[in-house]
Amino acid sequence: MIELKDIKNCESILLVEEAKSLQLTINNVLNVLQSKPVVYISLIKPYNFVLQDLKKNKKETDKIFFIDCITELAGGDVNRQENVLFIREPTDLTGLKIAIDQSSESIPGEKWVILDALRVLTIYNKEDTVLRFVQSVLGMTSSHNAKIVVLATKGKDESFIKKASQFFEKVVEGE
Amino acid sequence: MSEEKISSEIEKQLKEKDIVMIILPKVKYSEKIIDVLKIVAEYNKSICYVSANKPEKTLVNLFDVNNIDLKKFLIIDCVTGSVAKKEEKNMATVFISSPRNLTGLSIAVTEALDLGIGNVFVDALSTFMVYEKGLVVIRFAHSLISKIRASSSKGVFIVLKDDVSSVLLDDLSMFVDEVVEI
Amino acid sequence: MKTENIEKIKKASKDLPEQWLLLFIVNAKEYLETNMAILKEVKKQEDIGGIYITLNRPYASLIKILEQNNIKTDNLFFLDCITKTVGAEKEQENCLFLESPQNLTQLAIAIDEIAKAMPMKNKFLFIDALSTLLIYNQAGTVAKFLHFITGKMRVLELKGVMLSIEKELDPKIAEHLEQFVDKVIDLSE
Repeated sequence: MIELKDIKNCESILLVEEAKSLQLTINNVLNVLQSKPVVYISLIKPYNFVLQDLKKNKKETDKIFFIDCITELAGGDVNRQENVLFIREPTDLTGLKIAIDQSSESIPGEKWVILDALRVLTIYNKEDTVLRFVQSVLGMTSSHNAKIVVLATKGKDESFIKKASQFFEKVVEGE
Repeated sequence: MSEEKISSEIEKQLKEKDIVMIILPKVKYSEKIIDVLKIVAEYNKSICYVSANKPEKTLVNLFDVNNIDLKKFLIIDCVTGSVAKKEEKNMATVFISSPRNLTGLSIAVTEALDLGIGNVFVDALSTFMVYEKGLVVIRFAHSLISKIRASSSKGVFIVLKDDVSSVLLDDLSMFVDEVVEI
Repeated sequence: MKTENIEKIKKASKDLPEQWLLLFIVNAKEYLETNMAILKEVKKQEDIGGIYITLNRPYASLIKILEQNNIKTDNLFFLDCITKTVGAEKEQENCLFLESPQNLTQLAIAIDEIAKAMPMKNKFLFIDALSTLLIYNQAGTVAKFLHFITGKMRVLELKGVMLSIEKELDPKIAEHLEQFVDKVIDLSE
């Protein structure tokens, strides 16, 4: 399991963890952030499932704003919701960047951006495109005084993670 | 497993199951193939023998020496390397240009199934992998097995253990009803 | 089948959300037996209906095996990705014959339509062989499809069961897929 005690002091963190521990890690990150406003970018599950999981684990969800990159792709209901923005599909990195930009800018004070599955972006986009996207988002969040946590699963091919690591202030790897 | 138990197991599976894959080690191939053939011949009135290892002439001699009734067999010879139809001591022999010609082979087997053949015996599926990529052969096998099932016929697929990766063997295992490893 | 595997199957969805997605890694030699055991367990739930995607066996052959294993097919709808490739499809009330395992778009549309048409609230999707998808499609395509379909299952409120043969799943797919499901149950040892 990853030790998260230092993440609050960092601007940008890359957490690399086993897939089976991903949800637990997300819960722990939210514990550490202790109800600070969060922009949560959901790439694996529709946002309402993420919400369900968080509520089940007794996490406060009032201050979480979702950017949901899967529901529209999966043909779900994308009618206007107060706390969620829907991105057409994970190939729409421009749309995603704009959404992160607007949502992090609109939240006053300290806030966090959490991206729950970096590797999913590589299913839909070339690795280099994703790396450029990451670098760009990190610059953007920094300009809005937002801190960012990106989660990535461990894999056999570590070259992508190694390349992405260079953009982050801190990289924490689970055992 | 003792020889007797192996034969008994093969016999049981060939009787009960529609599609059986038999994995043979190379060292035992020559003797075991005859044992398996004898069982298949005993329980089927008509057999389509797809031969990727031996030419028709060799097969005919083998059948003769081992008292296997040639009249039950339609041979699809992928070895001899010419395309022709002949009438010999057996029902018929169809020649496929090469083991790479999976399309031609598929057509020939389909025609045999349309004639009402009871069993398709492929000797050996692993040999086709020498000529074509593993995935291509797997797809071919999958299609062939599906055709056999659709015709309510049976199938026996011989695979030589050392010629196939475990990954491809696992794929094949999904498509058959039983795997017997000797 | 080992007793411990039977126990693992029975406890698979324990402590998971109601709409769970499970990935079973199965031993190739015990594939069929394990497949049947998992399906039986899923069907035990009250008033549950399911969509069974058959990628290995034609519908006609599968039905026989289900009968032999005393698995009722009343609330099951089949998507058969194989029969049409051999030109042997005969119209069936509870089966849709799809073009081929390569036509993932058609498969996705069919899942969507059938799931929406099923009247029961409690439904599942059963994909009998992820490994077979990789025989017919490139790994990248399958990864996209799996991401999409797991999202789709959640949107449609389907429980999900996917089977894969040990050693067979491309490592790149495996690491993605593990993120998409709620639990991976390894029955291959």
